[in-house]
Amino acid sequence: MKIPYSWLKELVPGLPVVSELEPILAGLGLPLEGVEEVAAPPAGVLLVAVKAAEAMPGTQLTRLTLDAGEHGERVIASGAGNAVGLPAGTMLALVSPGTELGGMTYGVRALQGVESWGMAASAKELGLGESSAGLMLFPAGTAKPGTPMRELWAADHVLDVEVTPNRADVLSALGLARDLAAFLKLELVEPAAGPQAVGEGEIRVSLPPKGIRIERDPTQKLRFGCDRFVARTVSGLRNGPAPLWMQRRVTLSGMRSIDLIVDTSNYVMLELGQPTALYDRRDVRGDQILVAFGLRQGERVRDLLGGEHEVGPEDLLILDGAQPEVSTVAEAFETAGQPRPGDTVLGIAGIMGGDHGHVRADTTDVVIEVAHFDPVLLRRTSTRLGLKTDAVYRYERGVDPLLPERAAARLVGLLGDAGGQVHPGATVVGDPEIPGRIEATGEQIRALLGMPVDTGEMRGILTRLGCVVEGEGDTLSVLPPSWRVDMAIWQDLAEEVARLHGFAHLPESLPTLRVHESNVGAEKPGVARATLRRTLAGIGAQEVVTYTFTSDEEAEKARTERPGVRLRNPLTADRTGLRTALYPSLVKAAQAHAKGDRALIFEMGRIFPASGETERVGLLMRGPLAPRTDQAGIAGDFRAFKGLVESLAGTLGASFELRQLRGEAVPSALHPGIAGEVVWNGQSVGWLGALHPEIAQAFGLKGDTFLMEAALPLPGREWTFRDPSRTPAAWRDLAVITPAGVSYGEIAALLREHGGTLLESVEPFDVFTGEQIGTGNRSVAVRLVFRGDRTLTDAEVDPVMDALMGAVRAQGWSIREK
Amino acid sequence: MQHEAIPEIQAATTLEALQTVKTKYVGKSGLVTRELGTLGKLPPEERKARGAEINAVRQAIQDALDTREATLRREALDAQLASEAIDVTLPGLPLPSGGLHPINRVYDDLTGIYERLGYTVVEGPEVEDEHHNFEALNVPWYHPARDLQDTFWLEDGRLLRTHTSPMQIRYMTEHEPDLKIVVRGKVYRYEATDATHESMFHQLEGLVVGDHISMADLKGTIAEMARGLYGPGAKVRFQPSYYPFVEPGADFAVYWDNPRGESKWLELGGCGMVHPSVFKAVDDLREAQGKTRVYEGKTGFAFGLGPERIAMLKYKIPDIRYFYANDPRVIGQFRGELE
Repeated sequence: MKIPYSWLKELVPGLPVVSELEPILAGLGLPLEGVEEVAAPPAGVLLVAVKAAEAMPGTQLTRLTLDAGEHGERVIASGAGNAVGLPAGTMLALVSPGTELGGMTYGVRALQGVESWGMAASAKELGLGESSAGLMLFPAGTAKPGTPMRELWAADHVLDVEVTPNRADVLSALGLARDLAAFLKLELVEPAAGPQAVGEGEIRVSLPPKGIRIERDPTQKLRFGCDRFVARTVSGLRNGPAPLWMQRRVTLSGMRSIDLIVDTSNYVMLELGQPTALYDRRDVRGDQILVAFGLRQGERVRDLLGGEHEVGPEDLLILDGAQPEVSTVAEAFETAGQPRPGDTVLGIAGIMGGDHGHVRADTTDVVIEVAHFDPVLLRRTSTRLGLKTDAVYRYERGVDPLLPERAAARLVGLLGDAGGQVHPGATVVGDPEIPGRIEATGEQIRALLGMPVDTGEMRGILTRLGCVVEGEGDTLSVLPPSWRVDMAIWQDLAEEVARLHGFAHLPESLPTLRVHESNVGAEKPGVARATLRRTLAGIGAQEVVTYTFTSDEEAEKARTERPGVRLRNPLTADRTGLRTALYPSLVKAAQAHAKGDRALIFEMGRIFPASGETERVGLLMRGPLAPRTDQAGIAGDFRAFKGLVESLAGTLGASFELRQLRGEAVPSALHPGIAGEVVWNGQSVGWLGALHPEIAQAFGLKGDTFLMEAALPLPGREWTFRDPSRTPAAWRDLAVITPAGVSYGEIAALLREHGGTLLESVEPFDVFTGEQIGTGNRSVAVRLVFRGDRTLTDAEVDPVMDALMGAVRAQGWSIREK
Repeated sequence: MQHEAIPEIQAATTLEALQTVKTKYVGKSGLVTRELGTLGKLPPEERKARGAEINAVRQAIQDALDTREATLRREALDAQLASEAIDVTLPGLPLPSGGLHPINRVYDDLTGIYERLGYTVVEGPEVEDEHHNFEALNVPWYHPARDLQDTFWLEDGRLLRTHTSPMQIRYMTEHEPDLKIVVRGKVYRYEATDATHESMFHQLEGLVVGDHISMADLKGTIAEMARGLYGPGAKVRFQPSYYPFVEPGADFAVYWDNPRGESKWLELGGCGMVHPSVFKAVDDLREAQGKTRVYEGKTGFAFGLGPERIAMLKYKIPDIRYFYANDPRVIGQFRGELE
């Protein structure tokens, strides 16, 4: 929220200088996002009065005759739209000749035959605001003609305060000043009050008699939409420019100055935090206003800016001319017999005014709406319609429900100052809900904060914040002020106490507690992840962290499942869903970097296949095992890759086995001839092999790429200590001839199955193919190691060997004789 | 004989040649040995003197042999060692060297601190439902605080978690108090990417629940973390802030006594005392699962921070996008003990 320092200073005269405010505001939970130094206009910018405005025939220009005070009568030509037909007396900002502004010096120049004396400027041209739509105009009598504008429009600092969604109460000059005054123990000067209403108002207002319940509402309350509506009237206005001081504050606060009526409405919102709406009374037919839930589903409403919105039976609207005591517009139409529903909508409540009813240049009589609406209903409508206005921003956060009467008085007071006749009466309907009483004890608050603050000081703090504090001794019975709609539970009181006592005084201690037994073991997956991660780094792999996002195209390219978890609102076309496998991320990482020629990388991350979100570890190797040097290195081939995984398993104490995959069983990611199933501590957890060359090509990778992808957590193993055996081993060699398609793993598995308790290990040491053993055959020589409780004799080993050879032959394989 | 033997010994240039000389003089049938054999033929009165004389010769030859052998052995060893010399400045057999991603390094630093304080490190799902991500955390769908967290919605109505806080709910639903956990994991925001914003980043979330947990305990805990991260001179500052699932809420900053640059306050994260409505939401979920209500009436604190921000500040990484571009020249730098 932007606010000029000078405004705050007016409300809190003792306010410290700007440079000291930053830590004070931060300490209040209102950090400054920035402070902008706003310069005054240069001395050569003069306030001058229009004497005559004449159209220049044959041009788009207006010839303005000006009273420039001591500079005499001057003439300029202006192309601004709002220069046309300017009434005499209107004042404007004139950049007089010789003035430097925005890097250029203005002079007298001839424009279509007029010796134009400087330039009449827009707010933007003067560097005072965003508006470049027309000349800055001020009411007649704003200043003596020729007065330098800077005498009335001084330099200032604009504070940009970050306001969290709970602090609706500080979304105004008064609110911010109130919090600062309470914290700094300074006097608060309230803004002028305006004429209190006396008697009945001229407008009849009816509120919805029936409430609605909305879906998924934890409060489940019946929402009536509007619990306070104040209507007042002002007549005889001449709409034109707002007073300079008001334009200045509105502009410095980051809003655009429009005209007297709109600026006054905005000014009251900036000053008090209360949004208001003003309608041209000619459009409020029958002097009746109806607050009601929506039109028929899908009915269109045109707003004052020309936008069209579809509203329905759960949107709150402001209508005119209808009969009271009906809850829907449909009913209203029936009773009032209005055939054109769109014509009667004055606005979408608390969000935006309608095309019908909005104030215009010739508006003289206005109806003022100052209401308190249901924040939830308004937010719902505004979100659905995509209409975010300054008004609904405040309403959805919570406006003081008791503020409308005060704000209405202030608003009519300002319009009265501007020449309007204020009707003394007001229409006040509704029964606003105000924050309830909160019960607490000082001890409760001290215990929650862990900070010694005595109850007396708590009373002082809460009272300074506007609470009514009752209760004896340590008991605090607190009625929060109506503007603190965020205060509801005793913990909120604790926060206020901590905030004003100062968070800086919080002591530092550590929690003492005994963790419940149900938490035991919850640390295990985390410990296993950390160990795996460090071991993978230890075997030489670099960890990567990649994006979880993917797209259909990428999944197709990687030959994996299309993303089933799909974003409703993707940011970019390559991030439309969540990955269903880890390896495409690794392949992309390998391709994008190291020029794609070498990578040994791993990732632990989550994937989102149709079977559900799960965790995976992936390892990828391509190029030489290590960065290339002049010396021969270890080739980055399949053996090296599998060796790395064996080393990993060895360090982790896991058994690791790779089972040959063939045909349909080969994952689509892999080369059909170089693919295995990873069996970790006896459980199938994933796959390992060479990336399918077509995928490699699709991702622009040349040469071999090896991959492993396995599910986490990799299972642990049961283990008990085994004393190392001191008995010598017996060994035998055996060469098994099989068809070439039989894997070593299958042979070893068969031998282990039939090796009984004596067979300790099976290790291959030679693989041979040749005509001697028949074409299409392969011989694998294995060393079998036997060990028993005592030294084994041939008589013990031979039967086992016989059994093994029998098993081999039973498979249809043969033994290669020496 | 001595005069012949000594030069011959000196002339031997190899151990084999020396052995030949040794055999010639002091071997079983060597000249000196044979001479000793002649002693028996001498008369006893001469025998002693002659014996002493021959033994002296034999001793002198043996000494010369030993000396020469030692010399030759040293020379042989020197030659062997010289022949084995290697240019050790040439590179070794290339083996890969690995490392952790900087985010996980920072995570490990952080969780290490909390593990020493007795916390359990847990993780949770990244695809969440609205209830766990928002509603149970006191952010009903219509709450303006939703605007603070732009959300990636999924076609099936679920969402990508916008913070790690839903794990507060999940963990409490599954476990009973008292408890002390930290959560690590990815989070997502519907945000265009630039040097300081990413649509995917990480958080560390802390949650402590017990009977008499105070905000001072929270501040002390953050201070422990600050000292663990930034050294014994680190200080902690709390400033009021707002997160719907805590009350009171605060933002915390750490004063970094930077040895290499400007010392300053670093805004690191948010924290606060667990909001009673969060405990209620957890008990509601527990009840729906047939578990006992055990959280209402408890107190606790929660905090959250981003490892990216810590890494960027600590290591002066200029752009958040470096973390997920996985350029080995960038992520390969974070190795070993980093001061």
